[in-house]
Amino acid sequence: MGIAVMILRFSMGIVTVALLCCGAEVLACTNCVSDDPLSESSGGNWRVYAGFSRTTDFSLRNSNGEDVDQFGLESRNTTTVALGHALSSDAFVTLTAPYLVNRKGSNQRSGWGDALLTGRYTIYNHDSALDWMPQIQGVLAYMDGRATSVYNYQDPAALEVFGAGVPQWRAGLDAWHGTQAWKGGLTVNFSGPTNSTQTEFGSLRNGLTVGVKVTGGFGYGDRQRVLCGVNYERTSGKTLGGVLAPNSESQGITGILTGEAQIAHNIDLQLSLQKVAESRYVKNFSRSNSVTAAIIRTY
Amino acid sequence: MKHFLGIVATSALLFQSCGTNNGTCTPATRAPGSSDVTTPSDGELLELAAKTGWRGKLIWTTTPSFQHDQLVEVSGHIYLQNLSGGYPASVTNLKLRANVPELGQGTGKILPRVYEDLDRPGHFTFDNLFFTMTGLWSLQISATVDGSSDRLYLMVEVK
Repeated sequence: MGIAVMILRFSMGIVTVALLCCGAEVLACTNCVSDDPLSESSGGNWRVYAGFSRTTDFSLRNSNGEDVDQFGLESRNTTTVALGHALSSDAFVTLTAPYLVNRKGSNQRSGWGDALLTGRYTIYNHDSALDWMPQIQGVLAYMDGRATSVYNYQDPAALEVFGAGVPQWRAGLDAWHGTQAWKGGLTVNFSGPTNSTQTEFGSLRNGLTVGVKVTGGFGYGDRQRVLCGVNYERTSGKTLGGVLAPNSESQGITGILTGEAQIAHNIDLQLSLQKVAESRYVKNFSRSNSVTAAIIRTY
Repeated sequence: MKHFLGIVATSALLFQSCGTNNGTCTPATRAPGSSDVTTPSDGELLELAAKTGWRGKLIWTTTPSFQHDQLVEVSGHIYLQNLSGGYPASVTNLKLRANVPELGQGTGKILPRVYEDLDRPGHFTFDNLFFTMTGLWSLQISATVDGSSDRLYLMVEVK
């Protein structure tokens, strides 16, 4: 009975926030197939994440920020599983694997996306003596680039594009203040390819990406919270055969709205809405809207 | 002109320093897509010059257009000439490729097919070329002509 009430309250909270934030530009990097869904160890040694995401309204912006008409997928369902393990009180590693189903009309293709291995180390833990200081984590990640990508698809609608096409590294800092009712965080990260991709036009190397994500929200008691965030990312231009490809820099602004509820001492539910901004500052970037429901269990 | 109705077609002579008539040529230093886009005067015949001097012509037989819900297969002819303006004795490894320079991506593994006209040296036809989005595309013709390997670039704006 208690769990049912908790789920009901959680759902009402999400709907309320969704209504309040209607029209706001909300969340996520649609160009990144994999992301790290476990950012906290939450006391246990192991955490398991299972999330289901549906992404629709795909479109593409060119270098001038104008919509490009493309023959591409109409929807994508992503099932993401992640396993996290606390190596110590300060170190936490996560292995994430997405499984994607891309659809256009009655056609669909499915396959695994790029796996992501993430390591987090708590550089500064929150101390009540310095209550204003956030927890600060250093983040290192490596994304496998073996999934079929825009460089080697064979389906005309690109339904079999599941990955980035090249391995990538990521490094950054993650600051989070979550001990008070009002919560907030700031993430700055850098990422780039570990090597070039061989294309029909020559050796292609993607640019370096800098990403900044600002998150804020409110916690209802110890068990529920609602967070809004904005993620900005900019990638420098690509090189083809060692020569910079003109107008190939990309830029994206996405928003996130997430509700979380703890329905048992070791089980969390999460519902997240994501939307890439309809801004002229979004350039060479894939736009989409998505909703994600997830369950996280701590052992 | 009929082949170009509905398109916008634009071509850029990326190797503008190359002479198309006398065969003299300066090596190109610019990347595909870096040139100003110009519209061909007749709209039917595109003539290009490569740094090694051989020349190529491309004629569309299907309009390079885009439709949102239907893939349009584009086809055409390619003619190659040697330094003296005649048709070459030998053309090997002829490939036609397309990509969107801004995105660094093209047609994946869906590659245009090129067929040689065995009765007419230097004459080719191609098909299986799909423009999967609107915008500026770069076409690349690579070949070894009478022993000289080079690439030609042509910009096409698809609407």
